[in-house]
Amino acid sequence: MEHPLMFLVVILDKIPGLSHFVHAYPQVLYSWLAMVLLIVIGYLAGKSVTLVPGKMQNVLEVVIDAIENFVVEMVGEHGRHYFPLFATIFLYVFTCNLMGLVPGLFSATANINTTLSIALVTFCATHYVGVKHHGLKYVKHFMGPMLPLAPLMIPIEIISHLARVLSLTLRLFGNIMGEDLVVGILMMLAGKFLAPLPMMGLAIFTSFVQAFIFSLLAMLYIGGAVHEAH
Amino acid sequence: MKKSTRESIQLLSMASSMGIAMVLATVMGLAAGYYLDKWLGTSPWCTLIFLVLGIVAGFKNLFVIYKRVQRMSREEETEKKEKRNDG
Repeated sequence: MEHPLMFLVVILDKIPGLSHFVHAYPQVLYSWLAMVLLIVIGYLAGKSVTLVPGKMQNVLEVVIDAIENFVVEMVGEHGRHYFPLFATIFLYVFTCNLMGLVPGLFSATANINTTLSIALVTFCATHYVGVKHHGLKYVKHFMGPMLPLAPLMIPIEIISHLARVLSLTLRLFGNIMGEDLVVGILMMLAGKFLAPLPMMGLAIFTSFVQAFIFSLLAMLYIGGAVHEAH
Repeated sequence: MKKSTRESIQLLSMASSMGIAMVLATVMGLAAGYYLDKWLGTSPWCTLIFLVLGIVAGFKNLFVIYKRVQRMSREEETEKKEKRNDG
């Protein structure tokens, strides 16, 4: 969605040669901003790791610990190995979602290309993990219960795996886009009377829930690839 | 976290993706068949076959989730019975 006031676009528009890029792909700019934000926070917290944590380290330790426990609960001990992927997905999606609520910023996840990129990473990781754990036997998992049914089951499995990617993409995109649109419309209709305020409170909640569900589904898919094929 | 909470969170996330996954599987099948037809010039056979495959894939997802729910409720019942026998 073209936003009337995106400060990064306005600033970078002044640099010659970049004008086309910043107007065509604001979502890329803002996903970079989210990455920079996360990297800076991580750097500040990790700069001086002490046994008695400081403020920044304390907050991040709580978040990371909660996510790690959750991953181990959901996927099992194997999941600890893939914990960085899940934590990255969760933190990145959550940051991107929340950025849409700040005036002058834009949710990178309100564009279908960003969400598709995350879903494709999940998809590739799922099958990489499957092949890594089971070797060539992983292909058997696509063939269904018995061999004569294999020609029928393989296209069905492929379609349902591709539908997963599409459903991950569309759910995140639709929710965040809709949320931003509602806030924008209420702002234009009755911004003077703080009409978008309750909607923004709800948007914080949906941002969290969508990030949570995305990473949870990634965990379930990867957990399924580890456990299922026997 | 308790086992039942964990299972219900898993189930919640799967159920929330169930409706859209069913529709999308059908649409994916239809699209795959349509473009295969365009490429191979075998209209309308690929479209029909892949549409049916897509619908079957959608219902397969439903069936898998149904199986999980069934297993979960059965486990819950046996747990309850064990508790009753203990008490």
